[in-house]
Amino acid sequence: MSRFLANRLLRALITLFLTVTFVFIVLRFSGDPAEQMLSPDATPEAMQAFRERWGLDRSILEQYLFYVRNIASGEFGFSYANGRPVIDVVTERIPKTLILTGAGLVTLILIGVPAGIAAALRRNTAADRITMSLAVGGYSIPSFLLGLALIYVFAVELRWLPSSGSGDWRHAVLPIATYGLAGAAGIARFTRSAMIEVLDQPYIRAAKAAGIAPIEIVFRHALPNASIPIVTMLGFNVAGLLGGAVLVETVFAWPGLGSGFVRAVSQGDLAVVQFMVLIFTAFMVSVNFTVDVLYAVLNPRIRLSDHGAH
Amino acid sequence: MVSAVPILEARGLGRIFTRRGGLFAPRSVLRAVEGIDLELPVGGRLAIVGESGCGKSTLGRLLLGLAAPSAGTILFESMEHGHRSPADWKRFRRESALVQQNPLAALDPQMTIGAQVAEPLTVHGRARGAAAREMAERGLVEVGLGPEMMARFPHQLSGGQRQRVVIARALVMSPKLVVFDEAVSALDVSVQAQVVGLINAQQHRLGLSYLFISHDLRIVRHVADRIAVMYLGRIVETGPIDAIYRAPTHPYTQALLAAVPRLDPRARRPAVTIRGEATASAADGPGCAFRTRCAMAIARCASERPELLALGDRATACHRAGEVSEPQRERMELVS
Repeated sequence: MSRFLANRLLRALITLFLTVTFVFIVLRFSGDPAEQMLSPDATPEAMQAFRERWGLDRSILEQYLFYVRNIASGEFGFSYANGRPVIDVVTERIPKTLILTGAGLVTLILIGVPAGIAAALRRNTAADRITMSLAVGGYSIPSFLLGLALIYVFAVELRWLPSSGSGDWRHAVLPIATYGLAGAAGIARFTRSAMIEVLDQPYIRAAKAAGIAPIEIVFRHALPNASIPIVTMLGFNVAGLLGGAVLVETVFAWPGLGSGFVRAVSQGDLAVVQFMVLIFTAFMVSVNFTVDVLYAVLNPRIRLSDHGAH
Repeated sequence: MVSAVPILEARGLGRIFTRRGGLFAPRSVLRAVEGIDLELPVGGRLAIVGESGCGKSTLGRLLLGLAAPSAGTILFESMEHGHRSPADWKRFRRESALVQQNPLAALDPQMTIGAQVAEPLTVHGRARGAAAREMAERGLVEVGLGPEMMARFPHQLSGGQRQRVVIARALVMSPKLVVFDEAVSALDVSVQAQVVGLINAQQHRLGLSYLFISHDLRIVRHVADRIAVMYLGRIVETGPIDAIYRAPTHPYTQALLAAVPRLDPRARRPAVTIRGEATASAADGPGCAFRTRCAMAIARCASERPELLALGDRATACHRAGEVSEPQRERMELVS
């Protein structure tokens, strides 16, 4: 397994490095930051001063090396917009986003996985069809639309919950529900098909023939084997949650990375955008790596692959 | 060996699979198993043979209560499957076992061999913890596997080792009844011989009663006393295996036996051959399901289904049974 993990770790690092480089290239060629940040009638002297201050007057190669060295040493510069250290501007938003996506992930697992298992066990019954129809519906609705619908029902009509902001826990309920319901729909469908596939395997029939109780067959034999594809899918879901943060946090005016990213892009705040892209990438890479580790833990074929097995 | 009450008995057993009709496909019915009567005496070794798709595996599953019959009754030790309470079922599971065809798929890929072999013991409260592991280890040794297998996973074993594990797991509870469903088909010939030897040894040791489902007539002879030949869901010929092999009376059995490869290069080519493939629709009409491929078919075969008629300790379902004797086979060969 160690070779497998070392391989995956190396891949993760290469992905990070490529992203760093790609971000640099894209952002440098997307326009002159000085023109974007300063007012159109700024004097050439002011523009020049801005470029010198941010090192934009040097050669591209110099800028790149400087940039890589800074990232490696944890220097991410200052926001063009308000001069605060980028690291502060971004890190204060990270917990906000992690709360929503973390709770959203837990919600979607708690709803999606049991719904999928139940549907698989009652395959082709009315309960299965209803569950799967709801899942297809939930899967098809864009998350921001679901968010708006929840706001309309629970904030505008029923007035049970606030529609936006991030004061106390009540503000988090609707965004978490948005993540949870949208994600649960996909996971329920996937769990159902993964479970059905496993339930048709001869080792499940063998367990039945051995007299193992149905509930034990599900939780000791079927679910552990179905969990390999489910975990893979959950990895994609986490990535989807982070991507969806851009929309969902904007809908609910939640001050996390997603809404911060939208703001930084619209302001042309290169230093912040750059760091946020790196943070997003780091999240994705670590999620993928976690999935790979779980995959190895769950699957003995990978876990034991260093021990001379075929 | 044979006591009055059979350990397993089936009467009029049938299983129909229906496929729901779609927009362009009509609703279709497949009679996987139909009108099966069989008796397995205590200590009996019955082979079920036939082409793939003839319903042998479905029959095995029905007999073990792993699939629900559409018709008929099954009795294990005189108790009907349909009358079992959950506790009765649990007792039946304890006393019966299934060995499936593909040993890799029959083992849980995420569980160690030791845990899988020990699982029935703990589930039925026979032993737990270290005692269960010890019994599992002994079970593995009995099928010729070392204790080092306990910690391994299925993918780390060879095909023959996996099949031994599946057999060890089936026998760990010392069952009274085992269904071997193509238990050696996936193995190399040399390994097949080992596993057949193993099954025979275990049968002697435990006094098992078993059904040996196979399409391989060469193997069957070494593991069974009686044979039942199935064609499209029905038994077409049954009897003591030596008698059937010596003088098959049903044209299908004759063709199957004639098609068995012989080691003797001077042996004559099969005199009886069958054309085409088994078509399930042939079983739907009033006549004999085999008539479409039978060289001996006459008009009566299309209008009237032959009953399985007993003759001594054997039975055949063919209007022309007995006509097709050895001399006649030779004549057929001359003609063709």
